[in-house]
This record gives sequence, structure tokens and C-alpha cells, in this order.
Amino acid sequence: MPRLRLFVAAALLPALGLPSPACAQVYLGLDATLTSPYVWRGLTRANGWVVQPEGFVSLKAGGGFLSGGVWASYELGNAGPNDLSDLGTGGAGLAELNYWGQAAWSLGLVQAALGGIRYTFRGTAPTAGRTRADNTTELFVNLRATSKYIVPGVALWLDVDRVRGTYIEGSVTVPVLANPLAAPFFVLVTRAAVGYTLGQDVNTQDPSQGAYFARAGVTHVDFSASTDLTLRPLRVPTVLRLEGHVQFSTDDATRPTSARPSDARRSGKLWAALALRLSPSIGSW
Amino acid sequence: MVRARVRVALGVSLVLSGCIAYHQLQLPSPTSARPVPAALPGLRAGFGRADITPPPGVGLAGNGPEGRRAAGYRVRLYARALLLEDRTGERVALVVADLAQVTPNLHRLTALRIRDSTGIGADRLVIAATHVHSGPGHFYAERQYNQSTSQVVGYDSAMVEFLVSRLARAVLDAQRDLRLARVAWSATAVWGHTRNRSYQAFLRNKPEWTAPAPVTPGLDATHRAVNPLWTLLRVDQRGRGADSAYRPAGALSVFAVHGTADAPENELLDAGIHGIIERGLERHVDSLSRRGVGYHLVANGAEGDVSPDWPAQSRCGAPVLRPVVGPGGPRTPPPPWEWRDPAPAWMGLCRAAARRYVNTAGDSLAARAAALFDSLGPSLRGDLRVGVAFRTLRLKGDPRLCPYPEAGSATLGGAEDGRTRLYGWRLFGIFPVGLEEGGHAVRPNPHDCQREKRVALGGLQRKLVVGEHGLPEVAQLSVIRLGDLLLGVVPAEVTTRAGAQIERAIADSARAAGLVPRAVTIVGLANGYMQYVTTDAEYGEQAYEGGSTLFGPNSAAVLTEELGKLAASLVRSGASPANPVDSMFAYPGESRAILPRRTAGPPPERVTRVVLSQACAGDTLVVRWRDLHPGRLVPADGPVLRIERLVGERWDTVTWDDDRELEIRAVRSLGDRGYVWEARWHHSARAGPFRVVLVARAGLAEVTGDRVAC
Repeated sequence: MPRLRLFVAAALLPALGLPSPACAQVYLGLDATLTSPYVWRGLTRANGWVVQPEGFVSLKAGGGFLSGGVWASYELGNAGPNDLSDLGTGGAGLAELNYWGQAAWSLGLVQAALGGIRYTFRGTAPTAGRTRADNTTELFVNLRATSKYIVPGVALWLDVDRVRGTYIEGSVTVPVLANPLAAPFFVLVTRAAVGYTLGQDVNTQDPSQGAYFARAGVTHVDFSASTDLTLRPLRVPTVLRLEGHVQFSTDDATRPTSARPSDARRSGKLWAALALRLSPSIGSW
Repeated sequence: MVRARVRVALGVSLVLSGCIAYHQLQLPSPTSARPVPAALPGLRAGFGRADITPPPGVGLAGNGPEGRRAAGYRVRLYARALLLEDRTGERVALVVADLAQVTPNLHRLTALRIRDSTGIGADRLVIAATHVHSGPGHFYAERQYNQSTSQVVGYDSAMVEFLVSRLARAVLDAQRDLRLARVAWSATAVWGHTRNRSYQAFLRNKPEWTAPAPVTPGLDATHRAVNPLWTLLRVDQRGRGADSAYRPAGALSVFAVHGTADAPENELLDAGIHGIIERGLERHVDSLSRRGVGYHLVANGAEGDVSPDWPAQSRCGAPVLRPVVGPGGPRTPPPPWEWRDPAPAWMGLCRAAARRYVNTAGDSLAARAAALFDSLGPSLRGDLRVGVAFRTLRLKGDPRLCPYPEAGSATLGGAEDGRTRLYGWRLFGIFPVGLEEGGHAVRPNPHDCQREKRVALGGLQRKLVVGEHGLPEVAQLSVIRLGDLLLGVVPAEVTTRAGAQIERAIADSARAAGLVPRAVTIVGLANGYMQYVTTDAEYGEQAYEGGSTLFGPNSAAVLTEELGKLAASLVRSGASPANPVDSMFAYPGESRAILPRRTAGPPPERVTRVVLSQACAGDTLVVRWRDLHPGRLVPADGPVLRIERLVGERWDTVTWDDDRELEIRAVRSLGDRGYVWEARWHHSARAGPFRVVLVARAGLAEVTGDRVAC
């Protein structure tokens, strides 16, 4: 069996660098993000180091991309009683697996993506973390306009399973700096985003319904700066991304930065992530 | 271990102190031999020409970040030489190369190469560039230019050798071609083909501009704000042996026009509008002389702010930084932003519009040159006096100039002819940072030598980007006497008014010393490159040219003073004064392999040259064939292919790969089997059938394709 895997890997590896200018192309995507803390929609899900690998396959056809993939969140440290963790206290390991599908395309100055995502959780602790009972499914649509400087965008996430509500995130992205000579290409981008819940907060009439936020309305405001450095070792397009965030929290669920009572009412938080992304073309016709 | 730590500490300290590595090369200083009167009394002239078309793969210099990597070539690039020797043995070699700029290393190394055979050193050699923006880079003597004149970054000593060997060949051919000659020169006004691209800066000059020739009615203000004079020196040579008749041989033209008629997005090596003008008169000379090849050197004048009158639809627009749609999903780190070109269809249209303009404007200007050439027939004389005054001016450290060169923020956005992707950029889309002409490129409170110039990146430019010796520090200046015509040779792009100021100073100095010149004209972009020179008044506007006047607002005044002195010394000497050639250095940066090498791909004996496909798409014949890799196939080595047309029973050659309607591209590597090349020939006026013939080259036999009906 290991030999078979080795053979498959050896067969796939040379394909990574093939340039394939054609009407339809298939991409194999591999990426991993290292983040601390792990913040999702303004919520601190884990306040230790988390690595989030992902693999996906994309088909490019007609100027759009049809993609499907698996994403995982792996908590690297054992969470203590004062830590936030999806796995719960005392464990380290795989905390979350997401399966997703997406169609994305560009319509002139507007870029759109729509798809669905299935969230599954691996926590087993009875008093903390997320367990199978938290598994859920969302449909999403993401729109952004492109212009020379300011890229406004809006994303809607509709939970159709356990939480039954919508989360909306509006954003404005502005590039600050880019290498005019494209090799190696780097760009510094700033972004401001505001989160808004419309039903993903506690349902007072049905407390059994899942919820991410304490109350309806603005959940948080996030300011971020990110740099992307694009390199082509062995002709494989590789992106190294570093991002830093400053968040101002407005919802009781987005305020905690750890499980300590003293950290439960923080109005701001800082977090950073480092990501490596490869998405070579592996075939075309 | 200690040594390693010392190295790390040294490296860190170098980075922190902003030091950038430069590579210092001592340039030779060959001086000319003492003039010796020739055995044959009278003026002698000779012409030479060398192909300087490199293989595809090099960067096209001149458009900064918009300069593409050459995918192929269209109208070949040449260096043309004219060698003149008067009856006293005074010599000068004038070379015009289809390049964006000429650098001191090209000049000095060429002089060294020709010195022993011709007696001509650096002081009597003028190498000028047509300023075409679709020639190769990577040869600059200053590191910064090797880093920023195209998207292909770097210096390549092989490119220097490639160009120097061919520049020298052109001069040596001219030496072999030396014959008794008769010459005449004149100037005529050519209005309507050029316009002033920095008119607001031009208007700052006082007193107002008086055109040097009557203005054609109906021209708008920007078309009148140029020097329209086309100066042409006609040369007729005596035949060899029994052929004692003097027949037309060639000409030297000087006309101020930027080599920016092609679209900045052009991806082919191409001699541009100057190439069309050169060939137009050469064919005319051929038809008159019936001796073979004619020569036309087209040097540039005071073209700093002078654009060809390109149509708006010939500019495609610079790439814009945009987010992209890419492979991935909702949890994938987003794909990075990209510089996105305009739509390919639009790019094709605007490149085609630019080509149409290059061809029609080039033809029109060539016709004007031919008319001027013909008008000089009755004035030809064999008693032209030649003289040269030369000096090396150290710009850095000259107390009249800024202490070191700095580029303004207006430079980064590019001129109107070719805006870069940085033009108009604002921080967060709101705060202007001076990437424009005028406006915020002007410093509101001038307080140092660079005065109104907002220096790009401020103090960081010199410390972190340019480094020590990254920009030019020396200017080689000369004044050439050709009878009663004086040429002011400057290593810069001087604006119309700065050029007029220099020309006036040369004329005044010459007059004061006892020579009344009939005309003085600037030959720009020669023997080096110190970017632009504006007048003091124009500098205050901080248009592109002012931002690119590296040594500050006093630059024009200094050049004026120095060239005036040279003119005076030239006239007082009676012939040529003593012209010391001072030592110089080049600081080009580390050499890397950019010019495709002659070792690229398999050797000729392992490549089967074959025509892979031939097809007609509308009025375009498209041919693909297998050949050597670029590097082993060097266009400058000779013709690569010709296209033949069947007339009756005979195949006639209708074109070869030096044709404005024929594009050659290196398409893709086949590894050890060779390289796929493509020819696209627009044959609107001719009907087939056609066939392509791959010309025999070293180690490769001629290959003939099948006939194709179009």
C-alpha cells in the first residue's frame, strides 16, 4: 500500500509544473495556514497555534472555476482550562473538517462566487469545544467589484441546517503597494470588514437552535493588512501570504480572547496568520 | 564559526546601511591618432552597416515596467556608420544604432575595438541612438537602468559584447568603404508629424517660442511647439576603379522625434518609425545610384519633449492591479492580486493601430527626406572641413549641479507616450504620492538642490533602490564640425527649448571665435545617457522630463556652457583641438545570462529543420517551422527565411525577414528536437501561390516548403 501511494505521488509530482494554456484546465490546490489565535467571523475559536491544511481540485472553463475541496483545522497545542479550543481541554489534533464546493467567475468588473460548505467537528469534550452535534451546512454567495483602487465586496452565508440564519460580511479592500516588475510579485493589501448577523445569533424563542453570536446586528469590525509574495520554484506558482488583523468586537460572543473570565469582555484583539498556497495546473484539453 | 558570524554581521550592516552591490568596470580611454593627410586629396567618405537584431528573449528597453520580453522581431535593428575624412586627415566616425540609448561602455569599448584600424578613438567616435523603444536592454553602464528599463531585469556582459562587436564592424566596414566623396547639407521644416508632449512645461519658458521656420497653417499649439528642422547631409561617393562618377551613397539625418510610435505593449524587436525612415531613403538612394546598397543614418535631435503624432487608439493602456478569480474555495487563502493587461482583443487592435501609424508616418517622413536629398544634388562639394572637440564632464561633484543624481516621482509614472502602471497611483486610493506629471510631483516648498522635484521615495531612493553609482555620473560631450554645420553631441534627451539654448550658445561661441556656422543642431542620446535635460523654467513644472533631469534645474545651463566652450576651442584650433579622453568607470551590476546563448538547445547537426505548417488566414500567410533554439539562431547573423511567389514558371522572392509586414516569433521549445518558430506575413497586395524558403545557415541546408495558395 505505501508503495502504491509512493507511485501515485511520483506520477503526480512531475505534472505540477506543466504549463497548460488551453480552453479547459484542471488545477490541484494545496495550501496550509498557520494562525494564532484562530479567529472565524470575529469569534476566537482557539487561542493557541492552529494549522489549517487544505486540498482541492478546480476546473477552469469559460473564464470561471468550478472547485471542490476539503479543509481541516488542526490544533497544535493541548488546550488548558483557560484556553479556547474547538477540541476542548486536554487535547490536540484534528478539530474541524470542512467539505466545500464552489463556482466562481468574473463578469467584467464584478467577480462572483457561490457554493456550499459542510462543517464537521471532531471535539469530544463534554463541556467545551465543538462536537458532531455542532455539524452544519451553509450556502454562500460572495460578490466583489473591482476598480483601480477600492474593491468593495459583500458575502452572505446562509445556514440551512443547525443554525438557520444568515451572516453577512461587507468589506472594502485597498491595495497599497505592489511590485511593478512582476517577478517576484508582491503586493500589500489593506482590508476593512464588518460582520453582521441576521439569524445566526441566539434564538430566544427556540434556544435549542444553534447560534454563533449573542445578539442580532454588527458582530465585529476587522482591519487587516496582508502581503502576498508569488514565487515560481520549479515553475509551480507558489504564494506566501502573511496577514495581520486588528479586530474591534461588538458582540458578547466575539469579545472573548481566552476562557479566562478577565478576557471575556475584551473589545479588541490582534491575530495573525501565515499561509502557503500552491495551485499548479495539472492537466488541460 | 566566528568568521560566519562576522559575515552575517557584515551582511546585516550592509542591508541596514542601504548599501547595494555594484560592480565597477574600468572603461578604456582610447584617444585618436594624429591626423595624417590622405594620399588622395579631397574629402573621403565611407559607409558601413551591421545587423544588431538579437535573438528573442531579451527585454525591450525604454518603457520601464511596461517593456515586454521580446517574443520575436519585425523590422531588423541595425547600426549604420558614416566615416568622414577631410583633406587634412581630420576624421570622425558617426554611428547611429537602432537602440533606446547608447551608453559610455558601448562607446568606449567600440572605440577601443576600432582604434588601431581607423585611428579613431573615443574623441572622434559618435554613437547615437535612434531611441527606438523596441530594442534590447541589458547593456547599460549604470545598474539602475539595467534594473528598470523593461520587465526583464539585469545586465548581461554578453549583450555588451554582442553590440560592441557589431558597432565596431559597422565602423570598420565604413573604413573599408572610404572613397572620394562630395557632400552637401541643408535643413527643411517638417511640420505636423511631431508635437510637444509637455506643453505646460514648454509654456513656462520666457521669452515665448519663436519657431525656427514658417509654420504650416492649421497646426495646433502643441504641434507648433517643436523644432521641425530636418537636417540632412547628403553623401555621394566616387565609384571604384574605372568608375569615376560620383553617385548617391547615403545620408545622415537629424530630426527630433521620440522613438515611441510603436505601442508600449509591443512585444517584437523592431526598428520602429526610424527603421521605416532609414529604409525609405535607402531604397531611394539605391534607385538613384544603381550601385547596390544605400545608407541612411537617422539620428535624433532635441526630442526630450517631442512625440511622434501617434493616434490615441495606438496606446493600449497600462496593466491595472486587480484581484483575480482563481482556483480555490471559501476557506482557501485568496489568490494574490495581479497586474492585469487590457483585454487581448483590445491589445491586438491598438498594436495594429500603432503599426499602421508607424508605417504611414515613416513613409511620409522618408519621402520628405528623399525630397531633401534630391534637392541637394546641385550643391555637392568635395571640400568639407571636419573637426571635433570632445570632453568628459564629471557630473557628480560638479559644484554647479546637484551632488548626486535623483529621479523625480513624475518619472515613475511615465511620459504621455507610455504611461506606466504606476501613473496616477494614490495611497489607499486617496492620498496622492506624486506619481503624475506636475501636480503633486511638484514639491511645494523647494529647499534643496533638486528644488521643485519631489524625489521618488525621498532619501530612500539612493539608499535602498539606486545605491552608489546606480545612475550616470559622467557625460561625454562633443561638438562636431562638418563644414559650416556644427553638431552639438549630448548624451541626453534635451527638450526643444533646452536644445535651442544649447544650439544658440554653440553658434555664439563659434561666431566669437571666428566661424559663422550656417546651422547648429543637437544630436541627442549619443555616447552615453544621463536621461533628460530641461530648461530651468520647465524643471519647475515637474513633468516627466523635469522629473527625469537627474542633476537638477541647472543641468541645461551647465551643458550650454560646456558645449559653448567646446565650440570655441574647436574653431580656435583651426581643425580639432587636443581632446583628452579621461578615464571612466561603468557600474552595471552583476552580469547574468539574459541574451540567449549560442549553446542553447541542440547543435545544428541534431536538428532537422522542417516546415511544420503553412496556412492562409485571410490576407495573412502563417508558417511554422522547426529550427534552432534562440541563441543558436541569431537574426543578426543573416536572413532566416524568404517568401517566394510563383510567377509563371518561376519563383520570385517577394520578401525576407526584414519586412514591416512580416513578424517572426519564437513560439516554443521542442527540447532536443529544436524550437518552433512562426512567421506571419500580411500580403494584402499580392496574390499567391507562395512558398517559404528557410535560408541555408551555418551547418543547416536550405529547406523549401510546399506551395500554398492564398
